[in-house]
Amino acid sequence: MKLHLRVWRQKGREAEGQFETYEAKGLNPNMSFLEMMDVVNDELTKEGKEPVAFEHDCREGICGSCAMVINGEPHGPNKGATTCQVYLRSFQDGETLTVEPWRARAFPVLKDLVTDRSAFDKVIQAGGFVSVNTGQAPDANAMPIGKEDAEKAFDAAHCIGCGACVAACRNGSAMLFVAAKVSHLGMLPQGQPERGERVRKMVAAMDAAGFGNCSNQYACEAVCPKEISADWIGRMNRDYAVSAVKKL
Amino acid sequence: MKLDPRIPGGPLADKWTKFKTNVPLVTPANKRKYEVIVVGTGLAGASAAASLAELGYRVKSFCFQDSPRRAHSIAAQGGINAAKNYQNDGDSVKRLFHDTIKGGDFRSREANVYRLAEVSVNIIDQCVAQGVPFAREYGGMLANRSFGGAQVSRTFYARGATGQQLLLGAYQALSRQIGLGRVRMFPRHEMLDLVLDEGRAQGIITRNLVTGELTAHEADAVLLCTGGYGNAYYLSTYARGSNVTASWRAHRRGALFSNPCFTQIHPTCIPVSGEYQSKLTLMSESLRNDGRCWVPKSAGEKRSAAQIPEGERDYFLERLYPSYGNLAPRDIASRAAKRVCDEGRGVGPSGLGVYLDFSEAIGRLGESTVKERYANLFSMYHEITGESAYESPMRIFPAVHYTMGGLWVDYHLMSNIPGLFVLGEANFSDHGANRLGASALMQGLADGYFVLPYTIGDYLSKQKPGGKKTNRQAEAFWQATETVQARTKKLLGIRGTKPVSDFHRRLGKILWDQCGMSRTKKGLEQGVEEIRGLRQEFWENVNVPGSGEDLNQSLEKAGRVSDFLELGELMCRDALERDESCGCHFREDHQTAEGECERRDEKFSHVSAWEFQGEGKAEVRHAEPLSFEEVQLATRSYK
Amino acid sequence: MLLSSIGRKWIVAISGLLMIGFVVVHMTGNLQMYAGTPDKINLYAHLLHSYPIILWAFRLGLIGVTALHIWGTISLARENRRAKPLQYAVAGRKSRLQVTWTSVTMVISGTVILGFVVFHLLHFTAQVVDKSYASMETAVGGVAMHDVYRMVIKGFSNPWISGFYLIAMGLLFSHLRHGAASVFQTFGLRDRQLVQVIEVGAWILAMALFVGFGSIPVGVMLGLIRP
Repeated sequence: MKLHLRVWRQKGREAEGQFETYEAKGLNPNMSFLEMMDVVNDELTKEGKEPVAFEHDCREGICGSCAMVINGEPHGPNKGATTCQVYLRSFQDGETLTVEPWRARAFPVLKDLVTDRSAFDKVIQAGGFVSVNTGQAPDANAMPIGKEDAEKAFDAAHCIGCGACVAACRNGSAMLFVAAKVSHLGMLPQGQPERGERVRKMVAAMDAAGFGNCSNQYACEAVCPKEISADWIGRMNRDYAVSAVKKL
Repeated sequence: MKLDPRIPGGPLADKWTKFKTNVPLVTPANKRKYEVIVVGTGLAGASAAASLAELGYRVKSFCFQDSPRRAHSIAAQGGINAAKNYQNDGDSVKRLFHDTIKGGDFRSREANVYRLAEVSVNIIDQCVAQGVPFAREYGGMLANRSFGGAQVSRTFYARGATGQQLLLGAYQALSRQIGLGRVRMFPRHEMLDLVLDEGRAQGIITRNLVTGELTAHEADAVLLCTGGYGNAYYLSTYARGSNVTASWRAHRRGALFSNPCFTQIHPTCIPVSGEYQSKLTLMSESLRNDGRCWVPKSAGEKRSAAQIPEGERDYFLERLYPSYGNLAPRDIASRAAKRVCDEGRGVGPSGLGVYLDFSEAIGRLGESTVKERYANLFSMYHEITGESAYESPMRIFPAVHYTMGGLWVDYHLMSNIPGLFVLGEANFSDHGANRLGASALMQGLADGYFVLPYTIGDYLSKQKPGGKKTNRQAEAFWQATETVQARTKKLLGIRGTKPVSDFHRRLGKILWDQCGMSRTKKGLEQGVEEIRGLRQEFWENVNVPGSGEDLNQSLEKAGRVSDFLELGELMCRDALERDESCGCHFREDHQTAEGECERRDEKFSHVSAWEFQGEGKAEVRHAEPLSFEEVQLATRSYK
Repeated sequence: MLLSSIGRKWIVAISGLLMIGFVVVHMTGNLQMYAGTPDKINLYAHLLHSYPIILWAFRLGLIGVTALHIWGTISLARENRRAKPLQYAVAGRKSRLQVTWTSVTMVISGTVILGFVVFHLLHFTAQVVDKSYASMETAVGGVAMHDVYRMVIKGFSNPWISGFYLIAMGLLFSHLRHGAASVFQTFGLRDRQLVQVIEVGAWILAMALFVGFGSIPVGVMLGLIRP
């Protein structure tokens, strides 16, 4: 199997980038997309060229490191999968694939396909937690939580912080990411005392980081590798309004 | 060298309480004068950094990933043990302690393990308070499941992503402290050296992975929470970035490395499908709650799983270990799988695989219940193999998953270098020669939340905080920076013909063949030789393109692989010197008639601790004897 | 907090909802063209004009709401453009990205509708496009009043005006289809179980408005509504 690749190359944050084309040959359909990139990089190295910089770590869809836009689709063609979970059997032999980094002002490109997603960390630092010091906790079963609520909270908490939602959004909005964390903690009794303050602070941090706004198109939900529902965004909108009114 | 584990006196059950009551404290006003460096942001690192900052210490936290949330603890699937006895099935601290000691084949320190079991209950409380969405029963109480090596249900879980949820809890706690300005976070920074002054840990040298800048960071204590070294095998369930560099560079500065040959091979991973493969994917041990392992009874079977009638199947774990069945501990289950494959009864194209069959569970529980329990694992399996485990059995094979060995630490989690603490998988302390499932998360969080915040007080209370750098100290930092610079320059200067991955793959193959599930004297000796040759070739012929002044992933990998090439030799030597079988360490010349491990307690009831002697010189082996007061040393049996 | 991203979304949603309310009432009023007698709509228009204070308060309110809607959307849209300086070289499949035409053309449809509203006001309210409207008088039950019925028929007899009107109503359909559904999301009332209901509901509302408004110029052009 063989693929033609058009890959975004950019030397550094301030540098101009451009596409370069590579031929990936002798591929096996059971290879993962990233394994193909490994092969391409080894070939580049042997030719004395710099390999393509890209992020990856766990290669099992949970760390949220990998981040490639393949033919305009963040994380590639498969629903509910990260880039590292894309296998070559998803493509046609001889197909041309255009590979780009996440595009958003809040995620500047550092090199090639690597972007800086630290804006997400800043949002969490602003309020994405329960303020409980080590040692302060009561017995774990002291506060019963209904199975359904726990499951729902998990659905939101499953976000891996990859940023595909921002990458897919025409507005570079981080609403799905922020809403997932706001809702994860907001669903649980432990998160109630700070619920209002949390959403206000996190939204303020999100706005400050240069993300765009939600225009309710739900591309975020469509590409989310953990299939996190855009309903959480609605829930955050409501939480935010309630909190703002209470504050007045 | 005499290794003092500094275990408090008194009965086992009272040691930790006694320690806590007697440990010297640092007053709140003084805490902020101390600066602590924490390297790594996994369960151990994030929990330690957050807890120390909550106490009032000034903390600097480092990780090589772009965000502290990406540490590989995130990938742990199955669960976390705690002796809560919520199921009323007879669990207790003592039983968890006992299971863990026995699971580790009596090669761990009693006092550490007992403490681990004791604090396990606090971990669950803490995590729930942070908002970790553990699985619940309909009544709202926490749910449990069973894991290998235990006869009680004490494993707490959050679907198949327990590690993720626990790590996010710790990450959130850490983020809170970053937001409050009490932790300074340095993502995309890799620790490349440890700086000592008069034998004490004084700081580290880091490389900014984006700009290439080397920086010296000073502190009153340094914590390494940098995980395990299983990536030495190239193919493993580790993240691709997981590495031994921080530990190894500390080792080169004098920290002892314990039990490097103790590497866990997990029985249930998706088999290797080709040469190109970069990583192996674990299928959580929790699957063995409902999945049954089998192979055909006769070698050379060509029929598909469905065509093989019940009577011609060998449910080998149930046959060999009737009381634990499919939930036999990992080392035992892995070896059993290897054995049946060696007999030619393996399944799949490579013959290196066994079936993990859910048809009985689907019949008993219905597909929807099975789906509810394991859907994400089944879909992961489907994504990778293109096969549905609802229709035909999974094919699994053992793969490198965890390393019980690591830097030597005492009861305080301090290494032999004063001021250098080692937490989580990076230390050797709690799992002996084999780790039980759902115990790694427990240990990482125990160390970070509940052990180190106490023990570090003992060290710091005897140190004068920070203060001005002396000339001598400045010299030490400058020298360390020079060393790192020279190594980087050397790697970039070789410009050979082979990419780093080529050497890594070959190292992995040597280790898997000679220092894997089954080991022989001859093979290990050969392994040492081969690794030496490979290391020499690496330094002559590796090609690291690019420069040291920007983001250069080839350079990062080259540095890490160069350390694996040194560690690999030590792993083989450790396995060679440990002339017995125990836990994961199976020497073919020491086995029982049934093919199980044969320990030699009279000679090897100790922890090995290797001391670096300098480039190219043979390391010296020390030993910390293990004394058992509470448990009876016995032949481990799961029959 | 009103000026934050979500604050402004609430402003846009509430103002949008108020305007939806207005167009629904407006359309219901217009449908009196079908009453069979000109008197009905003429009386209605006369009633609206008989309390100038209320009328002007209402008008100013509506202008204010519209201004807020426009200010909110423009400021959000400008930020959106800044937040995504570079689009992808290859566009992903619409099926994968869940993109609908109506949602990505909100700014365009909104702008054209605004232009239309200005023209519409000049046309029928200020009556400066055709000066003859002002002198169209009629009497119902002895009360002299403006002959709205005739004015509308005359207005829509011009194919250019009717054409523009229909295009604007088409865009209103497109704008509301996304806008009306979005209100639920901003208010936090959208839910996986309700998505279908909301989407279909928004479609029905937008379609009803399109048909209701659009049928009048079509009726006039086809000669179904006659003086």
